[in-house]
Amino acid sequence: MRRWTVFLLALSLLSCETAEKIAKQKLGDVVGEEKAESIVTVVEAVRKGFQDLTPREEYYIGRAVAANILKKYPVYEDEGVTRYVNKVGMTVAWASDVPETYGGYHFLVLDEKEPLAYSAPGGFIFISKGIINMMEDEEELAGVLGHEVAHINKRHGLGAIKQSRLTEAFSVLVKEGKKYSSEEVKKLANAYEGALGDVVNKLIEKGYDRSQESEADRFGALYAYRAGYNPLGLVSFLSASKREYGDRLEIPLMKTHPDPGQRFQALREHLQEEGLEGTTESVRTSRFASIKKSMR
Amino acid sequence: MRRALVFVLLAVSSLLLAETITIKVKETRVRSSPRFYARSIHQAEAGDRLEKVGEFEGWYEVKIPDGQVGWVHSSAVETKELRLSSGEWVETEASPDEVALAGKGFNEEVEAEYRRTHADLDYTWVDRMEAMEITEAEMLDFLKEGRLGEYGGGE
Repeated sequence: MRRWTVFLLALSLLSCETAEKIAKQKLGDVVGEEKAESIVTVVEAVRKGFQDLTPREEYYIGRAVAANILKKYPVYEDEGVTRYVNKVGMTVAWASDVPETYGGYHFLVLDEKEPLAYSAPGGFIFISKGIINMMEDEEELAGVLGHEVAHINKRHGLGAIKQSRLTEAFSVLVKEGKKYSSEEVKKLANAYEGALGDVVNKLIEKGYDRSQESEADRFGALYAYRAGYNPLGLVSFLSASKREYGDRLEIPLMKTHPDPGQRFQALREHLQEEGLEGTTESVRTSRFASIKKSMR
Repeated sequence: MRRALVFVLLAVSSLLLAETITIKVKETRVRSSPRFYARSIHQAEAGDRLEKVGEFEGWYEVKIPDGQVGWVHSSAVETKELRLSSGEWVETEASPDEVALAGKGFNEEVEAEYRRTHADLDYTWVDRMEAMEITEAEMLDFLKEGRLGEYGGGE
């Protein structure tokens, strides 16, 4: 009888007290002793920086950044080339630290002879016909796409958003189940426009910081390596960029991805230190060559 | 006596608390094995809750509504809730991602307002690039042919 009493006591403790305790303790960490009307309201109140943007918000920012990139450059419409680039890109993205994003990874080729590579938050990646023409093999393509995937994994684009926009957006408090008022939507749209303006400016005009570029090099080569590619692909692409363009900042790729000479040496040393080695399979090199040849 | 009570509490808690995961991406597939190119057995959407029954190298083994068991990648899910045997959900940590599931912040509504004021922006290709689908079978062929992933020298 006594044993049963203990058992029942344990049960009631668990179903009521434990649940309440866990919830209160965790919520208490956020709001102290105050009782919040809803968890959503509480979370909204504690959001501060770009790290607190949700995957869904990142996706909507990415869509708008992508639309802005596509306003500037036409699309190279070739189903075969686009599918091939997507397959290489997905292979590398699957081997990355964040293989699934809110809306997934998507790759598109731009009809532009200058070499270009952009990644919009959430998983939208663009490369130009010009950059494919500069490449020698699939390993280089995997390295470049890995570099862009790494910018997305590390949320480098979102880091460009000015704090004031986020403060404005996060100040629009919402209650569960309630739709925004038209004034709230306008306020958010205003913050949204400013935020993606910051990202577009960073991506297309200013380029990422050197430290972000070298981080994207290291992780991009790592993702390519994990996928089964030769990680030296990115090194060899950077070395070719150096030979071809040096530090000509009028070339968009060099403006947004400066100093390929220093980068390729640093990356080569990094790969040696980490012992990351791979082989270049001829079957991949020949399929890349036939895709490249098919391009108008 | 006290030791016995602690023991009972621990034993019962492991039975009562089933770990669940919440899908945080727009949509994802529950697959027949822990590989991205594995056959899809169920389509899951943002906010769906599934019971976690196992784990393997960054993948969670989950139970789908028809009772089958499949795999979903950890980057597609939140793991911050516990369910009690009473069926009650307990929020153990209110993360910003949970707000996304409630549909707040920058969302469709905000995008619509932005597009209304930027009629020069064309989203046709943004939608088309998102809609392009490459099947698991195509990816598998691509990996095999290129000796990539488990078909080559990679990890």
